[in-house]
Amino acid sequence: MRLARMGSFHPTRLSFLRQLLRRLEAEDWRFERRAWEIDATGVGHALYCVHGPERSYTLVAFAHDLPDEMRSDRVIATAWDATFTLFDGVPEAADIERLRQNVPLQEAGRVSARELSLSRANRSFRLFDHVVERLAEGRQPEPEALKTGYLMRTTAVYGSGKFGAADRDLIAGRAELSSPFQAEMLSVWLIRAFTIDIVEHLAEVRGGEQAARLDPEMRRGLGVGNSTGLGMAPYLVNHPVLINNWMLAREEALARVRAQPVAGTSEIAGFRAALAAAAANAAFWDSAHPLQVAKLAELRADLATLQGWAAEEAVFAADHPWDALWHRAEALSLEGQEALVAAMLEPHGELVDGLGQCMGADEGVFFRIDGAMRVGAVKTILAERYDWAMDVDYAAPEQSARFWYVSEEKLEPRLGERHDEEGAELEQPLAIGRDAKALSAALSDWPEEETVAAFLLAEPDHRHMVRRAQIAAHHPFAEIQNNLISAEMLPIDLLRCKLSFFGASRFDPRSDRWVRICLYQDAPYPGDLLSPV
Amino acid sequence: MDPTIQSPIPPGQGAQLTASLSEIEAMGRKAARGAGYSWGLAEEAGRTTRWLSAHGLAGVSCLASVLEQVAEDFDAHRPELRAGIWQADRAVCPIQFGAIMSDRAVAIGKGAVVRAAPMPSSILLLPPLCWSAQALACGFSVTKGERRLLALPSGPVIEPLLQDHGLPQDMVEIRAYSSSAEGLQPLAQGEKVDASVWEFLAELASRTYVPATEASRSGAGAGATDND
Repeated sequence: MRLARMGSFHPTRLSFLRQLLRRLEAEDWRFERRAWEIDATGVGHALYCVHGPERSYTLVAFAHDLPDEMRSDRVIATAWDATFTLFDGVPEAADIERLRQNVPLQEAGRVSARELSLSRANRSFRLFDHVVERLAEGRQPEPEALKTGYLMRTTAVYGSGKFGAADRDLIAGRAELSSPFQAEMLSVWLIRAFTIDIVEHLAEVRGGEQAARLDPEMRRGLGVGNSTGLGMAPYLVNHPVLINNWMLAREEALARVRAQPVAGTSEIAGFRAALAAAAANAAFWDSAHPLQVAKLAELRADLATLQGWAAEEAVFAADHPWDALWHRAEALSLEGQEALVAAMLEPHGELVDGLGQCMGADEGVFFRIDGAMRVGAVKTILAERYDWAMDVDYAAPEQSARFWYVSEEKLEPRLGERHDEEGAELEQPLAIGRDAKALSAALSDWPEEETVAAFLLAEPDHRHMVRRAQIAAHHPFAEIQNNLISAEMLPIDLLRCKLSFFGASRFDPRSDRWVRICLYQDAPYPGDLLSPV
Repeated sequence: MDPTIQSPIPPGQGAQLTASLSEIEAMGRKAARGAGYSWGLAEEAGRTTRWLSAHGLAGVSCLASVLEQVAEDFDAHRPELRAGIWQADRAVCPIQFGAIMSDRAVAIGKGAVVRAAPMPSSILLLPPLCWSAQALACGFSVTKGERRLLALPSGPVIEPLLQDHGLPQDMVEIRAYSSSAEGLQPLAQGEKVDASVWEFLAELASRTYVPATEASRSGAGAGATDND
């Protein structure tokens, strides 16, 4: 599991937003916009409810009138165009008042165990105003302007107990929330509906009776944007069992498809359609970042190649055709290979969708160190699972160029330059390769039959790495096999991996450490997918 | 009026706040790290605090009372085996001692009896011993003063001690213990915490933060303006 490949992942049908929509549709959830109390200046609140077989959830949206100069996607911002929380159930008036006092403040406020997420969004300034203006005049927006892909972008979607919200343990037992990030994905899906409603509302305020509704085709092409910075990067390192399970589900899905002896007619058609959709998406996918520009060129060329292969009938007449395709694609770029994975999984829902159930994890189960393990066994784990870490010279400046830390200013993870900036002594424990090699060196003087308990009593600083090694012994995808403090390391690779599992598309890096993406582009809206109450 | 601009008095800043379990775990880990624990032990402090809070056993205030002592002189609380008893220059740190007991749980399960003194906040030993009880399918007792804590595969049990155990008041004794009693179940509800205690932990946690520089800000996320 290397960063270069992780940084080329595409969303698949196992992605978390796809899992959510499949469930809501299959279980016949109902949808209602229960309240729209937003005034002519665009200030007020709205309620979006979904009702399932056992429970309801409500997005409580607060719309604000934000002066342009205050609009910032930075985590250090203090005001936004809209703020949201996902409420567990249907809120009463008193709940809404409590939330009105807190949700607009975001990190400076406090929510409760009745809330499952806390988030905010800013308007995409150019597109939002353009769409309001056009609709107010009774016209549709310029198709070219819609290339942005979203009317609003979220700048944070907090879940799992953040700022007083419900802890994951409280909700993990519910079938609809047991897969990772389902509450967050539901929040964003409902936010998407809000972004359309608010733009049409403001157009109506301005244009009165002549105002138009957004064309359904154009509407469908709009998702919710998201800006993601370094804050997300350490997550994958800090949840080794979880990321193992994500990767394992993906690898198992791919293995199942490759193991099919023949390709069915509908699977071939579905595969071709998925490649065509990927090619169309890649054509619209825009980035000014040199790294992504180069990757996009490779992706477009590879998708054309793949479409050429997929047009050959002989390809699917071969024995184990999916496996043959996969091997043939080894000559393609990582972007192309990963696009192929997504397209191959797409028509095999029956074969792979059940794996979505295996993508959660309880890290706590694997937390305890086995102190009775022998030192020799730890050495074996290091040799087998951390061989990638042992050849790196961490004393070389370029191999220890960075350090991960938490900033005092915003309590957010950041990346510092070890040789130029202060604070390296406060480094977060994310330099796994270096720590694995240090553990290996510390163990070299210890007899094989000695216990981990004795070693850790003498060397408590290695406790963190011993725990990781014991986890990695049973979880082949627990570790990212790159030096995470190297000068060469690209944090956007970590971001893209995680965001692709969410179901994000159109990755647009703005630097080596933050990225804009789009969620739910071309997906149905709640009112399209679900029946009314 | 837009409240994001007005910034009314931030709620939850009263005498108490309800912290969620993940906030408790994160605060416990960071505060312990700030107090001088290695990352691995700090993780254990975080998990231990969370577990106690989830079981309604006031994890946050227990941890705070220990860190108050340990943060002053970390090394003086490090457990060492002296003449058959785990001791330290000052009170034995229960976080470190809990980790040591967890690491040696197999030996204790086979009959080894372990003693430590002086041991404050011995309830912090319960989580690592309960995890060991689950992993090894055997139970442990933690005896100190007038009560006995049981770490069982089914969960923790706290019971008053009826007969005299003959141990000094500040000594804790750990041994294997077999019982089919039902342990306390976690509630996952978080803990109501005194703001002053939470602030004390936050102060320790802040020792792990690096002051921001212009360079770090500009590289972390979007630029100065995102109006596009």
